[in-house]
Amino acid sequence: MSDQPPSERSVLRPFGRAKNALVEWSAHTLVVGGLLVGIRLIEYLLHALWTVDERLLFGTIPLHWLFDAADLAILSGFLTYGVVKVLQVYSGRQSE
Amino acid sequence: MTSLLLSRVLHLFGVYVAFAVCGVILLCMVTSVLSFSLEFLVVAGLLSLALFSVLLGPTTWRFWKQRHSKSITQGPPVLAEAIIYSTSSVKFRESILGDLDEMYYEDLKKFGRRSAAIRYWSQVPGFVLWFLKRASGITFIESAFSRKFVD
Repeated sequence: MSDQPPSERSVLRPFGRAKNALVEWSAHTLVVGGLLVGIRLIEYLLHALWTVDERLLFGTIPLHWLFDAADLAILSGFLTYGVVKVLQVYSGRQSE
Repeated sequence: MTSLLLSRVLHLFGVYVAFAVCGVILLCMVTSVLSFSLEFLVVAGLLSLALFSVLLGPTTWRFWKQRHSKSITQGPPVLAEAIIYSTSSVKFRESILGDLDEMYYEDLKKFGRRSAAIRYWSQVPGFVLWFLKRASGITFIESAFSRKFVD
């Protein structure tokens, strides 16, 4: 049992959950931001190496489509998985 | 709070990398279907294989290590074990593997690893034949004929 009075605990608990949700949201944002920057850097690096404007992969699709697909998948994941995780943490269904 | 954030970042990094790889796989599959090119299918297959190896590899390895926890090098031949496992009857599978394990370890003590492995492998053809017999329904045909002759 906690030594805090019940009224104080009931005030602190939502803040505790909000703090956990903030940590979760920050973690998602940091990872997504880092990965997007990393993908962009790889793209620039490849572009600098080849010095060709429109490099085609197997002569079919532009190479930058691969990076765009990865970006899209990460952002979609962030909007679905990220939001669900943050809501789960805030609602207290997950201890993390 | 910082350690919690760091642990969550490390955990989520793998998840989002998996998302990115899934996006590339999806693009390759769609392109291979739309342009009828085999190259993209191969790339998608290789990426899927890599992704599943990374995701399922540790679990499979832990299971295998647990199964052969006594001694990985001294255990029964893995391939023979897998064949016997997949061809034996579900009902008696556990007891069969238990008996064969017992036989293998006894042979290992008496005759050495090589002879024990050979004896273990010698059980495999019997299981394969029994499996084929069951799968092709020969038992059913035999019993039907015998009933006819008896009648």
